[in-house]
Amino acid sequence: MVVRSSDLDLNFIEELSKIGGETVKSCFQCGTCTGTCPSGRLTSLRTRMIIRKTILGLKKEVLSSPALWECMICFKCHEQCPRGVNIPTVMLALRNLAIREGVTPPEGYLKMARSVFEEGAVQPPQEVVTRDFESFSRTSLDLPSPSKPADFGKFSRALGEVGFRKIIGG
Amino acid sequence: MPKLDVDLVEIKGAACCGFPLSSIDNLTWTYLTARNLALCEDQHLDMLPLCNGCHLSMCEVKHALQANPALKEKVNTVLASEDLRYKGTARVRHIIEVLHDDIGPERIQKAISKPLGGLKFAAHYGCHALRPSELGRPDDSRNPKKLETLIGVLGARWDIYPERLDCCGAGIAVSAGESSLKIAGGKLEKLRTAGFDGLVTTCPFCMRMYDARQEAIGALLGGATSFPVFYYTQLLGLCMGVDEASLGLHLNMSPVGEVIQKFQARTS
Repeated sequence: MVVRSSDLDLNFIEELSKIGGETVKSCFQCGTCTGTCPSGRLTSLRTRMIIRKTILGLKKEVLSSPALWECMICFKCHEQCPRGVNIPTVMLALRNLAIREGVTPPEGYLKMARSVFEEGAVQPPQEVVTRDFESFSRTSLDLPSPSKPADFGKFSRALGEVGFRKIIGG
Repeated sequence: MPKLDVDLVEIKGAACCGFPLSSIDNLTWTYLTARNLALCEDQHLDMLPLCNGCHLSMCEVKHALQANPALKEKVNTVLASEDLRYKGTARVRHIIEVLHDDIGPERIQKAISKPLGGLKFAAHYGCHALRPSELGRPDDSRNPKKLETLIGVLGARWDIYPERLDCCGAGIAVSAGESSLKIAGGKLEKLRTAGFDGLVTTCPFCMRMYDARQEAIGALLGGATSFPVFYYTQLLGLCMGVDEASLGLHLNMSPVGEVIQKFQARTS
């Protein structure tokens, strides 16, 4: 792969550091992260490569990469990293930046976000069909409704204040 | 839990812990987590998040707000609109800590009337019950023992196995669904051939992957994956003589019937 200086954003790593990704600077590219990654065995995620490209400043390429969303945040690489890079936190910070740059995340993330905004939870309670094909709901099981914010107007206004509505485009 | 002197109260006004939104916006996650902690403080409760992800979320945000007073002030300014204030005083406990450290194996042993006999179970802790270790997780990140101890107290056998500390795959369920099912299915298949009677977990998200998604795993991997999966508390309840319906055993999607029959045959 050819890297052109015009593709590099030298401010990228500083931008990332401001939102919690500063440990990325310590990486010396040993590849232990990729070796321990249970997702990378099955998906396109190559952790070491994402870290390398981030340090180089290949902002556009990193932030538009679908692999960014294939990290399970399982912290296996983080436990093994000899340089103390908090890789899951770096991944989350990169995802946050990607959203701010207008990247559309996998649909499931937006669905969960909208549901939290509207229902207070990532999804409303659902009926279950058991292995004997019987249907049960919380009501039929005599379970109370799950707790919810007492005043939904105040709750969603507060989420608006932390900038959430703008981010999910609600 | 009341039989073990633990009173469970639902937090009034609780919403999502925020963890699923940490990918989208760090501040929203921090706010939602702090909001739940503030509700606990307001209602004078310790918090028992049942899900590993929720538990880690609470611990991470508590840590972040302690380290960053400016962030804490920002969160509190917004929390004031719901008449809440985050102080950082609510204790956050994991179900494994409550069972193993607070109640303790000895009291559990005294409380059970019907031990599990020779059944053999595999423990699944789940990532966020063990990692990141520097945040103080419920058990040792490389060599955890508490869940095995708790299984042993019920009179069951357990064994360690190579995939014990692995992820259930739930973290990529929304971005790479098939891969996430393969990760969960791979573990179930290994456990089935290794001679375990069932898998035991405490985390609802792991439970969803191994239990509720088992049919989808079978369909994807081209064979009926058939392996019983339980919450630890369901097995504990059985041993304490709680009836099956109250334990929700009819709601497990994996084939738990045979294990329950074996258990009943031994104890009746």
